[in-house]
Amino acid sequence: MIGLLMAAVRESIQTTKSVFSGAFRQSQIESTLFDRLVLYGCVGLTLFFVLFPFYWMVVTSIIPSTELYRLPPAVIPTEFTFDHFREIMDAQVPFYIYFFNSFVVAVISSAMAVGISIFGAYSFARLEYPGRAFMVRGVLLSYMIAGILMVVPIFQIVVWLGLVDTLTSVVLTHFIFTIPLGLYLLGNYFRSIPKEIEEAGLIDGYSRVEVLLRITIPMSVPAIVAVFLYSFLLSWNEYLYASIFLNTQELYTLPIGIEFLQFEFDDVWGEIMAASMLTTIPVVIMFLYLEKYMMAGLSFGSMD
Amino acid sequence: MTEVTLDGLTKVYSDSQGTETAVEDVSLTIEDGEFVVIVGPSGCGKSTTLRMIAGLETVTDGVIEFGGEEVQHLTPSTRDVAMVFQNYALYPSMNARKNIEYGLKHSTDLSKSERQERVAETAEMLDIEEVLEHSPEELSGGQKQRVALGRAIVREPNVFLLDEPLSNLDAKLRSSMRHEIQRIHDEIGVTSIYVTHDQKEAMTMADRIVLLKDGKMQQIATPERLYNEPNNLFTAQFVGSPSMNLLDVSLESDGEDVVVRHEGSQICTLPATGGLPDGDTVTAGLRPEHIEISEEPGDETVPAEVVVPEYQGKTNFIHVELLGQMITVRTEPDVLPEKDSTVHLSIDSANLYLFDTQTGETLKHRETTGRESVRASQQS
Amino acid sequence: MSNKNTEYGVELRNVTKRFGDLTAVDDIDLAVRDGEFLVLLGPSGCGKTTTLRMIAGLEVPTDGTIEMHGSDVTEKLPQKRDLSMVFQNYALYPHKTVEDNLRFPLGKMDITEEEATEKVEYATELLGIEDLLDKKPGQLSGGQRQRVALGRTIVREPNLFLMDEPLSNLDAKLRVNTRSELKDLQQQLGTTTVYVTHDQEEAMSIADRIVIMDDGQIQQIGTPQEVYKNPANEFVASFLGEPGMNFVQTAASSNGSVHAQITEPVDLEVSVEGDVPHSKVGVRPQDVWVGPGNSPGAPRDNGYVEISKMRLETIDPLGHSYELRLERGDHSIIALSDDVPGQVGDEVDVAFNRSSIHVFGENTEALSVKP
Repeated sequence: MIGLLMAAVRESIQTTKSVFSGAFRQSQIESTLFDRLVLYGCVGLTLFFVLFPFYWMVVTSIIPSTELYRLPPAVIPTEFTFDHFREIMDAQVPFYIYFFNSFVVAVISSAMAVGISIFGAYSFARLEYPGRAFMVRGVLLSYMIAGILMVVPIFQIVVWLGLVDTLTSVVLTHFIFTIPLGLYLLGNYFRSIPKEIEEAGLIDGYSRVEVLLRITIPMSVPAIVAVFLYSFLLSWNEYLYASIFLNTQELYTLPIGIEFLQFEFDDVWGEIMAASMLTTIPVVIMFLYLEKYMMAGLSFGSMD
Repeated sequence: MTEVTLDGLTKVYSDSQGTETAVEDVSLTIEDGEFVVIVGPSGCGKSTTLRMIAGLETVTDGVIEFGGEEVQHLTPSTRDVAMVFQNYALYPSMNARKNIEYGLKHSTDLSKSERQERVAETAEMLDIEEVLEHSPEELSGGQKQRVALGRAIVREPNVFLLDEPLSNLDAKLRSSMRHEIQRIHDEIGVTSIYVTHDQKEAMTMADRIVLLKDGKMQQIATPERLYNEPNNLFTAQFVGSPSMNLLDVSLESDGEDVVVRHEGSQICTLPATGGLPDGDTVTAGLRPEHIEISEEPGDETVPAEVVVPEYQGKTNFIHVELLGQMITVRTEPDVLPEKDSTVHLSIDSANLYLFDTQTGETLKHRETTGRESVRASQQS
Repeated sequence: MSNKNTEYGVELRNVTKRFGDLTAVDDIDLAVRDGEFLVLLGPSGCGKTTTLRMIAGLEVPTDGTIEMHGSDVTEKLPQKRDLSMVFQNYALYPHKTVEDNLRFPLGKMDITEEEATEKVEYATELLGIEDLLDKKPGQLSGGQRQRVALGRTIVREPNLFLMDEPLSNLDAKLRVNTRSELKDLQQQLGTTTVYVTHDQEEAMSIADRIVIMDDGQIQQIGTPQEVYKNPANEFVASFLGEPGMNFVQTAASSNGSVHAQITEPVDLEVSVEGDVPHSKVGVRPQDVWVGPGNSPGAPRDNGYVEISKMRLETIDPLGHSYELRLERGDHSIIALSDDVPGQVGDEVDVAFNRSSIHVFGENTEALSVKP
């Protein structure tokens, strides 16, 4: 785990360095000290407000509860403990069960979303058929409907399918919600690939599907990774639907698992923060590691 | 109307992958009102140099002066330059009129009626009065370029910068826009710096040409001088289309004359003058228009085989193989030998250039009757 | 439907292509001969690229038929047409190496691994790209990418090459140097080629025949010499040749004799067949003689007819010759000359070469001229 984290961090630093050196090397031609102070000041302030909660989460998860409730609160702790982590693992339902559930749901729903989006988006970008324009716009429209409006209708369908209290229902629901974004992102990305590259493949004798699989998809890795990551994130953090569809504690996903902790313990903040840490870290690692694929750029080199 | 001076201008890019010197130690002085063309192959640093003059790139080292004042640390908006880009870069949300007016609104204090007047004058000069109300997407490539030009000149800037403005246009349109730009420059007389990779554009438009290669200046001269007296191999090859023919030759003196041989066979003879090392291998250069072609062999001709005859209407380019080397000859329109036929080339040594094969330096120029620059005579 | 014309590689009959309200290609007839290098030439928007794409099968004609070697392919998919295409922006597969780029087109052919390798080697050698095989397109220069694109086109050895302005993204110098190599390559391979460009110099230097298009219609088809020396109309006359042909209005006259109108009518000592009303004469810049103002005049025995005294406005050096602009009143004439007959602002003598005068009727079509 630590090794993975280190590797991911190293990757991310590499990417950040290359991007920023590009941006800042061509630095201000003329900027006063005041200009720069203001800039760094604002950046610093924003960073502080964004990062402090995470810092506090980390701190809270590794200090004993007594330290936590002390006044004034210790910003830089002196005592450390891993008790909170042990507690949640030794609970009635060990924490890693929730982890496993979330992981399964997120991976499957994201993979399905990516798979279907690719074909759908390709048809939006390259093919002509009646109703296409309507569907392209409809995709975006569907995003305007807030999730909570759909809870009842979708629940009814889940009941009708006999999938209440199964992970399958959650997988399907997450999958449905992430497809529109996948279609939109990939549609745009495919459209930006010069059609001549695919036409060259067609002329060489390959069918549309072969062209899609052997040329378009390899060229679209950055966008596909982005869609996968986004879908994964959506599913990983999703609370509303999972909480409604799942009853059995053993099936809970992480967000619900964390909520449930409050019923299991007193003095619960340490445990909650530990649980949050465990929820957050894998995604952070995943993102740091995959960031470079997204930055890898577009169809660079084939076109003039 | 400003004199522009560059002194030791250098640009170095460095990142995690390493460093790259895009422009190295470029120094030149551009007179007030002069039309200077910076020309060179892709990647030679010409656009980077122009962008440094504009202020769109920072300067790693060196000084840029407008009318004696240093400007290299100023933002583009304070330098009072106007720029025309290869892809026109018109503001898509505004119509042509507003595009032209935009710069005026922000950088000058003119009243609305004064601005309108200037826009009308500029539109008349560029012949775009009828399309002023159109938006950029309704305009053709040539019209867009005129609007871009209008936007630049309406501000009456100190310096007028053009970055390959004609490269996106059709060949025919390119030549008519070329004349337009020349005409405008003659009318307004603003100091102009023009970047292109097309040596023909450079030759016809420039008062002086600056040739760059790999970030370094090769030569600055009037078009004619650059063409007739290139100071090195690269310059000789770059200017002139089709390119100058090059042959590796050896020089042998036989008392009176110096015999020039390629692959052992004699090409021509040079009168012995001092300074040419004997027996050395040097590179000889001949422009395509300085080789005579005939069906019959003559006194001092060399045979060659026709590989590709190119018809050009007012002239023909015959690509022949001479002793293993491809040579291009420019001929009159009625001289069009068949492919694979044998022709005979005669070469007058007075037209020969000689270059040092190692350094590329010119050892011998073509002998011309000294002629003043034509451009100088146009400044009357 | 067709039968006898199987010697023609490709035949287009009454082909029209409309995009909504826009007619890109308007009822054209075209027959491409086996083994020839045919160039479609015209300004942007004239329909040449659309025509090429219809031959490729990437667009379907709205009307008309396309035949290849006698069989109707109008509705056939590109995959089935046994042709290959080079695009203006090369369209190389960016994630594959050069070698894989060359090998990929062979994937759908019914050949063994060794045969495929042989074909790749042949194409590599022909284009001189041996040391680029392991690189990816992003690491190559423009000229190198262009060669790889050409390699990918020829590796399958199809019946027909289609080329959509393959040289226009190269530097001017590289363009001139590469086009004769391209012509040589085509002659070596002997494959029928249809090539699109807007550059008339390029077209004239490589084409066996040129098809000049404007506004979706074919203006003239002929060898470079034919279309240059005998343009069918004003458009073709002005499009070919750089600098373009000079046009001067003619003065009304009877019995077919032609007078140019430059402040006052000038007898050009040529006439046209019949009594067709004419409106313009055209003379190419290299057929305009310019002499110093104090000279005895144009060499009449060389076939020149004097026009007028004009003012020398600009002198542009081309290196091997000069481009001169002459003006008088509203009239402007461009001449090409090996030397400079005076200084800017001088009055000079201008004459036209009688045997090179073109006359155009009021409908812009060329009229036949009697010297």
